Amino acid sequence: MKREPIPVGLPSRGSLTSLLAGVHLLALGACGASLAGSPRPAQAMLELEAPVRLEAGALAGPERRFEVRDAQGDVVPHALVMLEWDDFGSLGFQTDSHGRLGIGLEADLAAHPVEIRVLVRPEGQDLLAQTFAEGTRELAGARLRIGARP
Amino acid sequence: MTQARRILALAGLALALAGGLAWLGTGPESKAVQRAADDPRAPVARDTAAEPPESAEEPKPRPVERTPLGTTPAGEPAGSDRDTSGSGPRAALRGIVLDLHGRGVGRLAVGYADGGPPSARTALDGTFELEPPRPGEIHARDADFVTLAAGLWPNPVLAARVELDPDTPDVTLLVARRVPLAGRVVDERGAPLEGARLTIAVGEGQLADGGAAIRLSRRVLRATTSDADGGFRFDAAAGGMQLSVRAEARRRVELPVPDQGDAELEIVLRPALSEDELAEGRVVDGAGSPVADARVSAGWTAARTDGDGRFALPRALPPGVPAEAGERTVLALKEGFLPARSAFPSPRAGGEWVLVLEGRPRTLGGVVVDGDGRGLAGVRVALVDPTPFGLVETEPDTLRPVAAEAFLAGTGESAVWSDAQGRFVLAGLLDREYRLEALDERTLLAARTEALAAGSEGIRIVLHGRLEELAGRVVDSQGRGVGGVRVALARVSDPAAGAAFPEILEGPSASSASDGTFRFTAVAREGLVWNLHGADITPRVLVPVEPGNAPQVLQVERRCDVRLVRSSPGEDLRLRFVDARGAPLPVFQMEGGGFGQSADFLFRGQVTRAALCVPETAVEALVSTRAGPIRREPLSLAPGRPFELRLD
Repeated sequence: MKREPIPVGLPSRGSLTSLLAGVHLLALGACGASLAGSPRPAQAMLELEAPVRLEAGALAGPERRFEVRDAQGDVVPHALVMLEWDDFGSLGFQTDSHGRLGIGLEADLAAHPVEIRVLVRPEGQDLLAQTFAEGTRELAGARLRIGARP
Repeated sequence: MTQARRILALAGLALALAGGLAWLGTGPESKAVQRAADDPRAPVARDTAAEPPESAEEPKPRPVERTPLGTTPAGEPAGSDRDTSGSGPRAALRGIVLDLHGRGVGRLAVGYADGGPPSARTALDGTFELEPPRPGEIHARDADFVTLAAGLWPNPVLAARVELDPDTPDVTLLVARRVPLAGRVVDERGAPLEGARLTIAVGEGQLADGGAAIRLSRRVLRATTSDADGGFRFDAAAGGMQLSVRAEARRRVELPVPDQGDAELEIVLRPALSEDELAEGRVVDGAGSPVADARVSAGWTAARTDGDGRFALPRALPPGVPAEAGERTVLALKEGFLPARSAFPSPRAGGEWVLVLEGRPRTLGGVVVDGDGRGLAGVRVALVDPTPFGLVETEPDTLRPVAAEAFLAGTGESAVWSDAQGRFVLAGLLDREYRLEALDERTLLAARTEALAAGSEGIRIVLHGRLEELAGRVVDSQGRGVGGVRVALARVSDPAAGAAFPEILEGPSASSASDGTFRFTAVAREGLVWNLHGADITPRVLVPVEPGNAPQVLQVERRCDVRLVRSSPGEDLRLRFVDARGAPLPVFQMEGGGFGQSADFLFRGQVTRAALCVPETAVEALVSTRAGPIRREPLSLAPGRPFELRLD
């Protein structure tokens, strides 16, 4: 249950700015469906701009709820959420027609940093006339909301 | 991570694609890349991916045209009785080495990544045999070639009962000719950028081009970090691989590795935001001296101060963020200081924005004892209500949600474990009140304190309560016992403002017997949940522990495989699954190492096969196109027997 300590006091690289645009942490008040007789998990939520790389343990624990939106905040149905590890390959899962998806990771995988990307296929493409590579693309500026299972 | 677990994880991409998710990466964005032929090559960082020993044997390999192995279309393998799971003894492992065009590569040395035996040389059509096989990862071992996708044995996808055409090789490797790749990462003014993270890997599209079988292989990703001069070098690059370059506060650059490589590549990373989009400030100590390497956050990604104490935060909230979530209180943290707080300055605010760090962090100390007053060792003592901070970069380009106290304590945790005498000290605290929770992970017995002012010492937490036996049975929807389910008792952390997500604090676990029964002795039960996982059931977590003395009955749903099949590409089809009452059921995308759960699934027009899992209670698939519903398909599901759903 113990986690590795995070390194702090990393040497500065002299960068005036030190941020990744659009990644933030929300703490939402409302709880979703209750678990009668059980603790009610927090409804905190990460909202971040994909692609993003998360520290080991950031997705550890209960199943996560993902919601994919585009840069304008509109839901993106049937996107592919790719989780990619440096040394352990990738997992890819498709969101539903509401852009939502639950993901559960085994503890060993969740214990390593993971990069999250969102792939989409533009609406109305004639796939029979195109290769996969031509027909799909990474969703630039994708908004990825990650919440805990209600 | 064990090799077995590692291999499980590696199967992800394969199954994702096999599941009808045949998606591919984006096209390169190379506008920010410039060549600087007159730049001398600076000292460089080396890539970190391990390469297997290289063979100096001759003759050199050469690609040859070949008939594609495996007749399955992109999307899903076909059936076979052959044992390819690696579970049984094998005299020899059959493999093939392909290039990026799907052609076999002949006369190539192949072997295990660890350099041990056996090894082999490919025939002209790229095929090879390793005899006798052993578990591991198989690479090409040739100085001129780079392994883009490694073979895995045993293969977790096959072990998960996905069957392949009998002609499909056991392992498939993807290789390409090695080219030089080195250069510098600079900012928009040409100044070197240290610490940029560079990765290269074959694109998913290239994997797919290798045929269905290549998706069962591991995509090898190589990474390095730019040095103080911005220099970098990859020793195992190949033309057409995707190069990705990222650095703090910079726009990411992606580009293909040139076919002939490049030893003097200059990559320009531009700022993510313009000066107008940033609020700049400074962090100083009580004496007015700049504080370097402090973290500053308005609730999302933390900025880091430079040597002059300067930082910048984005003014705008990202799209889709509720305004109320954007309360612009800013915290600055530095180990050894209490945090500095400030309101986010308006764009019209005059003067310099300065945050002052003063005072030392507080502590809370005490002892955890049992009902008889004896100190309890190894008990987790945590803050119930830590202070939210934001996402902190813990290594180049990697973020972690963290509470202020966890950062100031330098541990990344808002918790400590009691020593042999039951003593504990929580450090890194702010000047406020906290509630503490003590939890014995062996029994999940817990106790909480009232609010305590930071700085308090001599806190005494009494951890007592009845430990009892908890027994029960895991059953399916028919009431039949389900064996082999991992049953774990867990406690979910309380809503905690400082945690990005609730933590599951898992205690003792057991595997259900063949009749579904399980038993725990001497555990707590109040406020606990069950966490259930099994190879044959749909994932189920956080089932409340029922009160009372009656045996716990944990109902699960058996998982059934559904294979989607059509004879040729066609329209996108959306599938939903319902039970006998018409109630919607979840769709599971099972992978080695994890699962996805969604309300419906899109069977993409370009794929002809896909694999899903649904609960045993599913009786119908509702099929619709973009125009609307087109038909209902009856299902005849049975656990352990894949159901083929034809969608022509």
